[in-house]
Amino acid sequence: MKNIKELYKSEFDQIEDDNNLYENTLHYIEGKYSKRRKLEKIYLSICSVFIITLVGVSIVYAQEITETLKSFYLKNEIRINEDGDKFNVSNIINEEHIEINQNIDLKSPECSNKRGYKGPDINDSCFGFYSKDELEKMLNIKLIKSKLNKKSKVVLWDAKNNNDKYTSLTFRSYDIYNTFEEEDTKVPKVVEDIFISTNYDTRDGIIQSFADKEMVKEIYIDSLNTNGFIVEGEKSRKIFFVVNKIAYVFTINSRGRSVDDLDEEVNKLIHSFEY
Amino acid sequence: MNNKFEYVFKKYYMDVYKLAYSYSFSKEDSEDTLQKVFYKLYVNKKILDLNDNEIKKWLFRVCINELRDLNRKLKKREISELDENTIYTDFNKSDSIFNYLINIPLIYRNPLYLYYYEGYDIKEISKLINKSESAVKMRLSRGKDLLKKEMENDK
Repeated sequence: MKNIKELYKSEFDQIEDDNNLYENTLHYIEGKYSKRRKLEKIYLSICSVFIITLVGVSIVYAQEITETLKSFYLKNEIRINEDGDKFNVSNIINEEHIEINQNIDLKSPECSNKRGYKGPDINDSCFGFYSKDELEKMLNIKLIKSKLNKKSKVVLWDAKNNNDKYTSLTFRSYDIYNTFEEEDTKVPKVVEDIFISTNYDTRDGIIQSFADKEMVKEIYIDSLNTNGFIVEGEKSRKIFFVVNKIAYVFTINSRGRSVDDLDEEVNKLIHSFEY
Repeated sequence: MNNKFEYVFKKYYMDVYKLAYSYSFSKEDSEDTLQKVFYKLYVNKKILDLNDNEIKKWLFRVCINELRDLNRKLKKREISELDENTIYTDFNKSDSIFNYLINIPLIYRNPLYLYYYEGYDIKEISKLINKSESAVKMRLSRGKDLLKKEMENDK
């Protein structure tokens, strides 16, 4: 019996090119390569046409594209400006004014809006109280709400007019948990301010907060898909953000609670928003 | 076509073909593999700058990778017997190594061929099939045992 090596030699040495392997393979390679070159040329042509078209469109519509990008960038934007060691937090509204229904009869504050720590009583005749649903219908706008208290009422805190047109409106919920009547210290005090700058307003920014650099923290509010800022005070937190051209500021006061409790409250509040 | 490519092709095309055949025992699959391997060389022309031995090893490595892809196809086909049209030697010849190798699992075929026919050592085979030297030793030893058993059964 032959050994394995001899068997391999004797059998595989017999294998010859009996099927035009040489020609067939060269033919195959040439065919496949020329097909590949053709495809490359087609891809190159398509890419060139696409790039030329893109460049052309970009040149012709440069202004429109810039404006679209700018408006997209400005949408829901809130910005902090550095001024020495201080930060000036303001919403950018110069190009983001909102059109509201002006044929409304809102009850403007008739007396000083200083009502101390508790804020105005629901029966305070100086102020007009509105639910968010009422405001949405009256002004033809959409407001964010908190799952924590959907029924809280807001007062018209400030209204500015020009030629019988509202230029800005500020609404305030003095305590979104409605605890001002009960002095319930187990619940933190959360004040909500809503700033609406109408298309008759000519100012650049309406909400401002001056804070030390290290006190300002940028956040992303998942529930609203928008960015915002938190200004951290010793006994309070302020949350700033803009949704659909309306600016919101939530101020959370500790009522003697710890900083950890405050941060937990911020977190709870942020996750409770719905739009 | 490039002169160096033609020179390399002429020199090694049967070596690549035989390696593919030692694994698949199919003329058709071996020819397909041969075409794919040399097409890859044709589009990777910088390989042609290597020396002849290195080019041959590169071709073998590509061929073994192509054969791994073929492996799945072969498993589906379930070759149990040699087909008269696919083999080169006399089908009825009792001591044809093809009759024995067809019953050896695929993983042992390349190492056995590279060792016994091409004369590569274990270190070289480990680089060609991208396995450790101990894995190659084990495959050669088991492959050899299986082959011997097949030959003894045939006596």
